[in-house]
Amino acid sequence: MFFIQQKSKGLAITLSFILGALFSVGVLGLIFWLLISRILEIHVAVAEYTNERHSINLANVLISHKKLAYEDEGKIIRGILDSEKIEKVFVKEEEFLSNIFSPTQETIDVGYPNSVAIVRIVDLEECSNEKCKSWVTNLYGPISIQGLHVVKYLNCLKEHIKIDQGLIFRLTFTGLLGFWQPLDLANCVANNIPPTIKAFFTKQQIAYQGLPVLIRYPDGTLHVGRIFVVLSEFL
Amino acid sequence: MPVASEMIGIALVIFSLITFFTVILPKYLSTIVELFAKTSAENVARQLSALITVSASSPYVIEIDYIPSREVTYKVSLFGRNLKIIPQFKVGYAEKGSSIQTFPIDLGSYESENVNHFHLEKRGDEYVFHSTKE
Repeated sequence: MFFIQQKSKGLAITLSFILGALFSVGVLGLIFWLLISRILEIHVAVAEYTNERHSINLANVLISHKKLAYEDEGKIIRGILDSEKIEKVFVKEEEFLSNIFSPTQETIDVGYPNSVAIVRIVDLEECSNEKCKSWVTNLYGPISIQGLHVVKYLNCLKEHIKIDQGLIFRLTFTGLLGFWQPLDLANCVANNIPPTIKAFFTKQQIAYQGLPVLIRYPDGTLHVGRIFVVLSEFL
Repeated sequence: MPVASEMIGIALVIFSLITFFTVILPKYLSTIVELFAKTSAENVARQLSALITVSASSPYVIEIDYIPSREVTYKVSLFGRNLKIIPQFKVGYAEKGSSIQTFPIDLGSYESENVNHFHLEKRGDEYVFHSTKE
């Protein structure tokens, strides 16, 4: 009798356990399915100082550009700029404004689309009255409609129009903005805001320190200098 | 005794739910988010445009291979110093929006679909960009 009772007790525990486990597996499965198919959406917003990154990249391209870099027996030496080559492409800082509308210098075909870059090379060893010898030029990128931040923003909005069960609810409370989910709108702004505007609001310094270079003069002397690139990207 | 068995059952359910919500789900979500952040169009386009720019800073020969993911493939287009990336995710919860990023050198035009291996080569003034599926 005792043996039979024990056996039925064991059966009751096993059934309860199985039912409980099945219930929990069912609940977890339901949550998981809802999460993957209805709730979870991954959107990526990149936080970076695009202007600064582009300025540094452009400066890196310029210090090994064949129209600026010093050549030793036909070999381009990255980081050493030839003063004679600089004179062909750049103008002296004091002449920059008078030269800006009628440039007579050679141009370097390097530049981000829809942008203007002002490049300044400073000779830190030839200074008088706290003013160092420097050369300036500007680089223009081609105009590209698709690369405009406004067009990219509109494209982003077009790609993220959401027509689902929540549309009526969103339209009721937010009007036409209901076609987008709030996070999508925020990400479209975060990813497509023009870097110049972003830099203005974040008080970001644009390649403030510049890159170190050596400037080689025709007599063979080397001066320590810096190259600064200030980049402005249009809307 | 039946009350005790019910208690054990309920305790097991509560335990499994707590484990799911505090351990398994966050771990799973963080893996998903990390994976999709790395392989998103926005990230891949920014990385690739930066690599294209960096290649121009090499005076002679440089070869760059970039494989953002072996699972996710992309549609890539180059036009007028712009790079457009459209991811081809197979899962519904990943963002499928495109991204356009710019670079400062001329690479010409190029278009390819269903690729995840980007190869860039610079020899002197000549650039070669192509992409394949890994």
